[in-house]
Amino acid sequence: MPIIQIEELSKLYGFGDATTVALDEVSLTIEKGEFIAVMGPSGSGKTTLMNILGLLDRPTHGTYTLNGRNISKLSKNRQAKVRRDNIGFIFQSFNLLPKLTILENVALPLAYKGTRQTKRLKAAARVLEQVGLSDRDSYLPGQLSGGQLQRAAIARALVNNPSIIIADEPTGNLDSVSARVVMELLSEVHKLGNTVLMVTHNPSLTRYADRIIYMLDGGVVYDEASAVGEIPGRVQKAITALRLSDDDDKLATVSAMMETIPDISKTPEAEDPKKKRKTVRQKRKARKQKKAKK
Amino acid sequence: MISEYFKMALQSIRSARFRSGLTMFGIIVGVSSVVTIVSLGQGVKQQITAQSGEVGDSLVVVRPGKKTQARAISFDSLRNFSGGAGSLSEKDWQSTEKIPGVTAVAPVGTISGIATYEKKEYTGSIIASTANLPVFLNQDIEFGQFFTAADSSKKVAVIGRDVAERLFEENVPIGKKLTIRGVDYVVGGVFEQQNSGTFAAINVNSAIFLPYESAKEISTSIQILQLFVAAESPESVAKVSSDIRTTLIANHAGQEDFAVLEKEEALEATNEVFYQLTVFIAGVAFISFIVGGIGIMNIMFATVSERTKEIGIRKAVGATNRQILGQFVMEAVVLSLVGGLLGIVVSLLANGIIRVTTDLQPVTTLLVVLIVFGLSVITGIISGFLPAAQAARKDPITALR
Repeated sequence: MPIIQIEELSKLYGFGDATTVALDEVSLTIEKGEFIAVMGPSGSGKTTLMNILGLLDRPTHGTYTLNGRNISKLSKNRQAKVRRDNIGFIFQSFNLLPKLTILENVALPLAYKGTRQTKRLKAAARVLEQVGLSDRDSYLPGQLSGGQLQRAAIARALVNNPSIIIADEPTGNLDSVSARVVMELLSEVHKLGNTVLMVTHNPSLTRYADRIIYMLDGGVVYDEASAVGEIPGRVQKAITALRLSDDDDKLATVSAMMETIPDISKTPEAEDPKKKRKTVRQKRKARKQKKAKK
Repeated sequence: MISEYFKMALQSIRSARFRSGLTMFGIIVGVSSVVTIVSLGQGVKQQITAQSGEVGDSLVVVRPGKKTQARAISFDSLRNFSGGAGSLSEKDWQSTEKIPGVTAVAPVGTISGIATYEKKEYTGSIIASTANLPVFLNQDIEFGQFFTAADSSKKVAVIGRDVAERLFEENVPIGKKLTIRGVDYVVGGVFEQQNSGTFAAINVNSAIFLPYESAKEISTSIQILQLFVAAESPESVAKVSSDIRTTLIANHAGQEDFAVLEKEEALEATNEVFYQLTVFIAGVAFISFIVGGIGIMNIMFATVSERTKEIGIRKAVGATNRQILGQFVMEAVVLSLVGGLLGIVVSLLANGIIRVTTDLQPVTTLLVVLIVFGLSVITGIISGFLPAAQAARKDPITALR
């Protein structure tokens, strides 16, 4: 039985002429133990899909089956409980509570489950040991580095034994060394049998995944298996080709770009804004001169 | 789960100590002032109640006038009460003494007059009574002694603290003579300072007590304003007072122009004042809780919008709307409760200072503490609910952005 099965899932924002289609009848099946990388430019619907899969949002149409149970029409409170028991989130900006210690942060999901304090702190300590942060458990988040924070966040996502871990650009705020440590950890978590769904802008990170989904305009464009440790050439080509139109994505994958398109900096659009600015300045100058004459 | 909310609330209050302190300030000020005033009132009331002396609950007081008039009474109104219809006579006193179950009777008669000593004058109350009086007053003699039954026709006087200080200008004027209506009286005793209030409309501090028989020699018209009667026991009070009533009605030719009051009724004048005071204080308390509650609500709204991200995170890890609601309501409750408790502590300190620096003896009862406790919780729930509901309604996606 697949862990997650979504069928013709759509998400619309607004209504009438102003309707935006964020997800357009997406169907997807996720099996236990998969490590899926979701790629796509901004506005392609990745985040919306993650939010719906993570039960933070609900679809406009379509069905969402988690562990064989249709949960697309659950009440908010029930959704929260399913989220608590089945989903582990890892965010780009870590999202640990700054006033709680690392240990308390990791234990937080269990608090909402009603686990007793001693028991949940023990469980949190065990997971922290797995991610190699035992010696930092009484620190506040402000006292740790980004890489350590993200490892703590991974521990928090794991503490519930969730059915699926959803990571939204987990390395987006990290330097390359910390990013590698975090990805290795996620990879290890995957090898232990956990299901991981990761959104990323960085094609080089797809080497940790065993399945890659590429999204565009609210739909899945490519969905293919890939061996762990490889970046499928087809995906990479598609990415680099489509990336040209998007400034944000250029920045996010600049290293990947440099390899494939060495002359990216010479694109003609780059000069346009400068020209415009000059003309504005000239106009102003002209106006001032006019005033002076008067 | 409630204890969980409580821990979380403590955590977030601790992490914003200064702001929480300011938030609680309104409640602290309100509670401490209300508790202090209530304690003062309670203290005064207890002091007055204690003044019925050895007789305690077996006390019966007979006063002229209808029962309704006789209750809310002051010495001045008693004195101004004309000697005509309705006053008590010596006959009433004597026949009361004969009623079975009565162990002691003390009349409180008044003589108009001014006391003089070496050309100084003193206008106080001159009270003619018997040796029985001290058992009805919870007031010790500081120097000398009260006149005994054997002194009843001697020219001795027992005076209050104020008389000693103002007329004689000394603490122990024992043996000195004061003059009333041209007759010299030797001071035989001085009462201790009467601390607060009056019992049965007698202000001991400014009173000069004379033996009844000797007072009759200087005044032919002693008005008996009250008869203090001691029954055998508190249980026999009801029977004794109804016997007094029948006897006196016979004396007064069938007219009931007097009132027989048991202890509680005699104190009712005092109770009436305290009742009004209590209503007033309750109003003040109500207002201070509203003001404090609005302060808490205000801060809670600010907190909720400031902690939007935290709410998003908590929801993402599985907090239900209800849990978020509970957590924030609990935070408001803890704020207001801690404010209430601190207010009680402040008022206990204030009470201590009042005890040391004045004669008043404030008493903080458990009931008051419990009421404040309850009001604090209610204030917290009410003022925390709207902000907490706002927190619970937040959309996790927007909150996490």
